[in-house]
Amino acid sequence: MSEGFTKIESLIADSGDLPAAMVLREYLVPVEGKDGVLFPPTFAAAENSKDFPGGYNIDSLGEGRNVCLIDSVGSQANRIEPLFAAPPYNVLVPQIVVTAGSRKINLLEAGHRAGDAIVRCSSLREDLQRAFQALKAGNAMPLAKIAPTSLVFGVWDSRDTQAKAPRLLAATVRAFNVSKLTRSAQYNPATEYVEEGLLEDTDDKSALKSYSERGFRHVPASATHGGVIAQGEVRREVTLQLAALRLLRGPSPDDTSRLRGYLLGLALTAFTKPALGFLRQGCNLVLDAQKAPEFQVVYASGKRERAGVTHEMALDFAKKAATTFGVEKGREVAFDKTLAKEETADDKKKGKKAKEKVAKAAP
Amino acid sequence: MNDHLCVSFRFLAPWFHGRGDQGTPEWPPSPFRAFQALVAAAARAGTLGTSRSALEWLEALSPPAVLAHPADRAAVGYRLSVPHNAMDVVGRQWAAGKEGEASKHRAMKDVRPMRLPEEAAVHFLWDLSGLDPAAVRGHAQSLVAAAKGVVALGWGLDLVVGDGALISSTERTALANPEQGAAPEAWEPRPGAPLRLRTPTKGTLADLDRRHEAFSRRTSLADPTLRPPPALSEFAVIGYARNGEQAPARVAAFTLMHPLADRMRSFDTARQGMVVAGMVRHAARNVAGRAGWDSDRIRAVVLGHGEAPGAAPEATPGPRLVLVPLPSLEMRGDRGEIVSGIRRVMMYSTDSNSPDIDWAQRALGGADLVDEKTGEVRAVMATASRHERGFGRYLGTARRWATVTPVVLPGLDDPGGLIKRLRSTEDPAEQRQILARLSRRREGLVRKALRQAGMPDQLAFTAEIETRAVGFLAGTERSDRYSVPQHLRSFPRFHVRITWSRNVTGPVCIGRGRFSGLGLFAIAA
Repeated sequence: MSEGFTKIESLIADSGDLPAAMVLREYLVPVEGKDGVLFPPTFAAAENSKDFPGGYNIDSLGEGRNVCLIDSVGSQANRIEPLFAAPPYNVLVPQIVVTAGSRKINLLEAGHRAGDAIVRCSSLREDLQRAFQALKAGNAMPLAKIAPTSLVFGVWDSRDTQAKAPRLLAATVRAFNVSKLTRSAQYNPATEYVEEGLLEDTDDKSALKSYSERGFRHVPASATHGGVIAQGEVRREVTLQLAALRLLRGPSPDDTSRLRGYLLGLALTAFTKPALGFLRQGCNLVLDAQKAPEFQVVYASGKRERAGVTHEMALDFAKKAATTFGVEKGREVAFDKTLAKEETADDKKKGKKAKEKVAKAAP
Repeated sequence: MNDHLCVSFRFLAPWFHGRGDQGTPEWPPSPFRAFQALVAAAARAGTLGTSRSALEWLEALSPPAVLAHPADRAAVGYRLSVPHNAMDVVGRQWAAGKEGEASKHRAMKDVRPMRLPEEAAVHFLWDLSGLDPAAVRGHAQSLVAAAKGVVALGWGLDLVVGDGALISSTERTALANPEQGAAPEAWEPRPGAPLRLRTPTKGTLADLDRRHEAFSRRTSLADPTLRPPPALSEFAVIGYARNGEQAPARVAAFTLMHPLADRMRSFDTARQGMVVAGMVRHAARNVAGRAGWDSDRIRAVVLGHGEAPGAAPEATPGPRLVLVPLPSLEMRGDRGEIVSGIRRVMMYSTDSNSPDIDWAQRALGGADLVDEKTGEVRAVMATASRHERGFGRYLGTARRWATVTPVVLPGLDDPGGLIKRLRSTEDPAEQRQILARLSRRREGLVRKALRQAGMPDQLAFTAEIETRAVGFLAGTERSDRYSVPQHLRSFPRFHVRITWSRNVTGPVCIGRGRFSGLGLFAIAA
C-alpha cells in the first residue's frame, strides 16, 4: 500500500483523509499475441436501426481513433461474482442454492442476486424480506449474512421491498483503435443430396429454404463479423467504491466495523483477482507482460496516488475478516412454486408463436 | 471570503449515462440530479433527518453555476438484453419438469452514453453572497458530508467520488482555470438558452420524499399489483449556456407545403429565392393587417420602411423581421451533400427580445404564399420547430460557415477600377498585387456586413474570410446567377466562407439582401 496508509483495515474507518475509491487498470493482449484477432460482443440493433444498426460497439473518438467495448460492466460482474462459488473463495460466502425441479441455481449466479424472484420464492423469502427491510432501515448485517455479494455487486429488491444497495465494484474491458475485420465462410454438405437422388430437385423456394436450414445445401456466409485487431491497448478497468462501503452499517459500531471489513475483503478479492481470460469464442485475453497494471487510490479532492494490493494480500485479509464476521453455513432450499408468479397470457402467446415457428421449419 | 458552496463529482470512468427529459443524453448533469444524489447519500448514511434543513435551504437557493469538462455523445450506442426479474415464472416451469424459457423474460435496453475525458469532473457552485455566514457554515457542513457520500451520478454504473467545500471567488476562478489538465466549461443559468436542465426548487425535497415513499410501495410479493410512483413535479427547468456563448436567436420556423398535396413545395434557390421572400413578406403583411397592426407598424416591422409614405426610402430604425427562405442541404448518394431547393422559411427579428417572433410563429402557420402576379397559391406555410431537420445547419453552432446564397456587399469592392487594371496588365507581380487589394477590399466589406448584421466587433474583425464567385458548398451556383432585387443589382455579390476562432451560433445572414435571404450562411462541414 502507499505511504498514505499501511493497513487495509484503515480503509473502513469513518473519518480521516481516506481514499474514496480504488482504480485498477490492467493491460491485456489476446492469447494469440498483441496483433491477434479478438471478437467483441455483437449487440442487437436499436429499435431505430439508424441509431445503431447492430454489431460491434465501436465508437469513434475522432482523428482516426476509436474505442471498442469488449466486455460491459454487467457482463464483467456476471463473470466475477461466481468466483465465490469455487475454492478457495467459496469459504468466504455462504453457498445458497435453490433447487427447482432438476435445476440448481446458486445465488451467486442469479441475475438479480438476493432480489431475484427465484430466490425470493423459496423458504428464504421471509429471511430475505427481513434482511432487505433492515437494509432500508440502515442495517446491512442481515443481508450480508445471507447474500454478501449482493452488497458488493449491487442489488435491487424490485419484486418486494424495493430496497437498493449500490454496487461497490465495477469493471469493464475496452480496446482502443481497433480495425474491424470481416470473414466469409461456406458450409458444404456432406454429400450432394440432390445429385445423388437423395432429395427431390425443386425450384420451390420454401423447400429450398428448408433444405438449407437442415444442412442439405451449400450455404455461403460472406462479409460477416470477423473480429477486430486492436492497434492500441486493450484495457480492463476496475473501480472499487470505498465511499459506498462506508455507507453500510450494522446495528452497533463493532458490527459496522466487522461488516465493512468482511465486505471490503470480498470486494478486494474480486477487485484483485486476475481478469478472467476467456470472455467468448475468439476472445481469450491475458495480461500484457510488457505493461504492468496500474493501481491507484483516489481521494475526494481528486488527488490520486499509486498503491498496490496483491491478490494474495486481499485473500488473506478476506479470510480473516470472514472469520471475524462469521460466515453463515450454506443452504440448499427448494423453490416454492406456490409463491411464484403464474405465466401470463402474453407469455403463453409468445411461447405459442415461438413453437409454431419451430414447427413450420421442421421437415 | 468563502461565498460559494462547491459540490464536486469526479468520474471514475470516462462515461456518463444519465438522461435528461425526453430520454436524451444529459450533459452537463443537471443541478437537480446533483441534489437528488445528495439526498440519496444522506438517506443511505442515515443522516437525512439531520440534513433536512440544510437540503431545504439548498433547494431554495438560486440555481448554481456548473463547471464541467466537455463531453461528446457516443457516436454509436448498443443494446443490452437484461433479465426481467421473472425467474419465478421459469422456476415454476422447471419445478413442473419443463425446459423453462428464461430467454423470454428479458428486456432490451438501449445504451448511448456521453463520453468524458479521463478524470472528468463536474462542479456545482451556489453563490452564497449576502447570506448569513453562520447559517451558511452550519448547512454547508451537512451538505459536504452528504457530498462525500455520493457514490454514483447518472446510472448506477457511473461511479463518482463526491466532495464539497465552501470556497472563495478566487478559488472558484482557480477551479475554472486549473494549472494542470484541461479547463472545464463554465455553464451559467441564462433565460432562453436551448439547453434546459432541471434544478431543485422549494418543495423538491418533500416531492422526493413522496416519490420515494410511493416507490417503496410500488409492488410486493404479497401484493404483486404494480403501482408506478407519481412523477416528480417540484422542480424548475432552467436554461443553461456556456460562459460567453451567444444566446441563440429566437426564430419562427415554417415548412413550405404544396397547397394541394401532402408534400413539401420546393423553389429554385437561385432563381426563385427573391420570389419566395416576396411572397412571405406579402403573407406577413396581410396577416399583420388582419391582426390589427397599424400601417406604420407593418411598414416598419414587416416591410422595413422607416420613412413616411411617399418620402425617400429609409431603413427602419427599430426592430424588423428578417424573412429568410431556407434551401435544403441534403445527401445525394455519391455526390455527397448538396444545397438544393427552398423548402423552408425562418424568421427572426433584429431585436432578439422582440415579441414579433412569437407572434409570427403563431399567426403565420397556415398562411398562403400567393404569386402576386397570377394570384395562384404557390405554397402554404406549415408551422415547424427549429429543432426539426432542415433547420439545424442554419441555427447550430460551429466555427466555420459558408454561404448558400451570395452576400450582397454593402459597398463597391472596386471603386478605383482595379478589375479594369487587372485585365489590362500582363505583369504577374502587378496582377498579384491587384488581386490582393481586391481581396482585402472585399474582406473589409464582409466585415462591415457582419457588423451591420449585429455581430460583435470581436467576431467581425477576427474572422478569417474567403470570397469568390463560385460557392464553397456543392449545389450553389455562381454568385451572379442569383436573382436579386433591382436596387441591389449594382452591388457586388460573392460567396463567402468564414472561419471563426470560436463557435458561433446561427442564424448568420449578412449583407444588403439579408432581409430577403441573400447572404445566408450554413454550417460548413
